[in-house]
Amino acid sequence: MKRIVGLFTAYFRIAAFTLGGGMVMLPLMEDEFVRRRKWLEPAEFLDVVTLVNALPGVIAVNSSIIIGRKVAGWPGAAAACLGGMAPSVLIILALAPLVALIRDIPAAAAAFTAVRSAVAALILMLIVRQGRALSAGRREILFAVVALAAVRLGGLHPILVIPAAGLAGLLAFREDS
Amino acid sequence: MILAALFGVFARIGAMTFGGGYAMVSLIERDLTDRGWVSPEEFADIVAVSQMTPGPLAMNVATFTGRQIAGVPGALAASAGLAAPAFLITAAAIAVLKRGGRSPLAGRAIRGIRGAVLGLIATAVLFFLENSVLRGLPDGPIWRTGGGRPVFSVAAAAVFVIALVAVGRFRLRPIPVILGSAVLGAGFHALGLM
Repeated sequence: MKRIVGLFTAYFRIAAFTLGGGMVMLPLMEDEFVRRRKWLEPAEFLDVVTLVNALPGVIAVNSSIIIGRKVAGWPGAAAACLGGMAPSVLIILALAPLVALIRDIPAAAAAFTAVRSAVAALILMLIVRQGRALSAGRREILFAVVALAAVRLGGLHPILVIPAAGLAGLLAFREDS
Repeated sequence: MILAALFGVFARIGAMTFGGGYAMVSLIERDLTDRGWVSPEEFADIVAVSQMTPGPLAMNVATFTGRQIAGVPGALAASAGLAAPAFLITAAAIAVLKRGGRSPLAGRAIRGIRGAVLGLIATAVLFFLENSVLRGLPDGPIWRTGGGRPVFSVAAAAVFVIALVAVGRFRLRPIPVILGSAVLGAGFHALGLM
């Protein structure tokens, strides 16, 4: 029960402090569930990221259900999902008219730009921590660089990267070293 | 029944999109404008408001659209619809993984996938840098589109470095970093730097 309530409040807090959802939520999720509460191992967290990238649907919703279920079964999944949805619904219903006014204030626009910079730094540090936790070697780094280049330069859809990396993994990690 | 229609349309959006948030925007727009529920201009406003308010983008769009069309019940129906398919999809995925996830072959594939997923997350780093430190980059690769005149914001780059140091050196938590960067941004603006 404590975990179910914890899932709801953790997801509520994460959703309330992220602009844009999806990838922006990842550093906060890792901080909350891997580092602070230790409900997930770093490798388990990366598997969640893999799943939400491979599955159709909203990243925020899928991740809440997978993590919630891992930590506290299906009731946990429902609690995390509701916690992730609640801030959006409440804030949009209450503040939507005001936000349209704030948008035109230049100082607010600058604040939003600065937040995007900081989010880039947060996600970069998440990658560094995840790489260390997996004790990623040269081959894992190569996989990361190739995946990044394929998506950014080659225009490959991210969904295709996952099966391709799985196949390449069968070849690259032949002898378990 | 407008509530059932809202639930159904957003359930379909929730079931059929990959990559979340920004990848979903064009699909949602077509679905909603074709039905005459919102005009393209209204939709642009909805997305702009969603980007400025906390929470997942798609959830904000669903809530906002539902509210426009059918008030608070509409907002709830649309949001619930968006989340509903995720339960079925993740249940199916977990069942498949439980069956096949233990073989050594799968272990080798997973090592490759974990490496690649780090690269996928890195695309988000670039996305956010391009919308803060750099502005005005072309959508496609520079050598194909001829390139634009990217604008480099020193102030935004400073925020990026400060955030890196705050997290890496001083172990600050993400939420204080986000709040602090917003204050920095407003401060830089007051000084005429941003």
